[in-house]
Amino acid sequence: MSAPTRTRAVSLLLDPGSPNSIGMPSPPAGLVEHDLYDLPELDLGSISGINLASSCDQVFLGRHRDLLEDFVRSGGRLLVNGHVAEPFLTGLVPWRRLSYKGPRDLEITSLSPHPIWEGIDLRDVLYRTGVPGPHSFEELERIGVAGFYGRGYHLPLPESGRAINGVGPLQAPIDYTYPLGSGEVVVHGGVDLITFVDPHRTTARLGENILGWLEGTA
Amino acid sequence: MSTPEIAFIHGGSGSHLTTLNEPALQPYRLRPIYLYDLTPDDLSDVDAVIVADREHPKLLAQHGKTIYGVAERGGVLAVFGQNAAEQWLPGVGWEPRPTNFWWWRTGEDNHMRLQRTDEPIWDYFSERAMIWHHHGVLTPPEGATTLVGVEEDGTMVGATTYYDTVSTAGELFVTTMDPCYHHGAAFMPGASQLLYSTVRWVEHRARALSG
Repeated sequence: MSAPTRTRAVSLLLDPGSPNSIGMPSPPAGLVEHDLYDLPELDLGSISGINLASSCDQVFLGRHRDLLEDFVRSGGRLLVNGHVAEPFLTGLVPWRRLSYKGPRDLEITSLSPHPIWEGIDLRDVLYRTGVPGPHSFEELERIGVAGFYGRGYHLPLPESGRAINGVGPLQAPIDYTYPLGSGEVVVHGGVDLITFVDPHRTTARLGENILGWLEGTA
Repeated sequence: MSTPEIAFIHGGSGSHLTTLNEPALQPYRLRPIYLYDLTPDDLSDVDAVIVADREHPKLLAQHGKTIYGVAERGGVLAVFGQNAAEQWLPGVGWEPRPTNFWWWRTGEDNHMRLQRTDEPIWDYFSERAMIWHHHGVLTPPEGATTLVGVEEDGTMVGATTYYDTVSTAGELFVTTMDPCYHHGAAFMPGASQLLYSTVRWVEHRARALSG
């Protein structure tokens, strides 16, 4: 049996290499960053998975929807981060803003398992702070800022879609997945998933989970 | 007089598209200009330009002269943050700073100082709109007016937002804050206030300057 030819995981974003100002960890080694506008020049035949950053230009992606769709239908995996305003691929639905009053309205709950979130305690994605060091959940309730993970949802889901995580007491789907041809699309409706890697929380493994899924090994 | 022609230069991000679809902004009849396709002709007849935050920096810098040209011929130019403005706005300095997004939870100093005066521009901007977080410190061109300064170790080191009526025949409003991103992501009411306030001010000044 020959070795699989599609093994590379790439991340497409607006401006690779630009400094991030909120002190977030670097993406895991193995996830190679490219400028979104280089998409038409990429050798998609060697790529197993694409992470689309929330900064991506959705007008440009819409112009290249055939290329993206061929990539997924032929077995590729696509992780879409952020807020889809103009669906640029078959099956994507628009993000809608949630009405919220406080952290309880923004709590994330698991609705079905997915390899990307395996081993992640979703309480660990609710709060973010720049105060250095590890913090207990109770401490974060006092000093943390909630809502980075997401403040919106996707309804109705595409016909073949499955909700992965819900937001708020009504558990509106914030993360969902659907098959497309031989491939799979996962949508995370919030700040880029890769930025939630934190060595002090269960999200320490999130980077490896994402990479493993994009590489097709998870 | 009819509504001034206000171009809104966007990069097609989810936040930009959501901002353009915002019901509160429809009365301004903003003319969407997609940065990837921008040509000088797109801006030849506009009274004002708003550059949305977080554009592709290299693409934006390529069109910097064309965009600045609107102010040079007497129009209004508003530039939001995370746009490497120092690379294409003449006479502007820049130093990045880490973003403190949690100061309001811990009571830390956000270092931002409102420089409120009796000037009419202050009829348009509230403290809530002008102070939430920023991404760095601008050194405005000589003669420009700092609207929000940054104080570090007892010294004013620059501005997060300034207003410039001296560098060109027109007027510029420049900030290191990113209101389209946070408004489009349904985060922070202050960001929505800054977005709405800036568009309202731009319309007011464009009407005054072109009338």
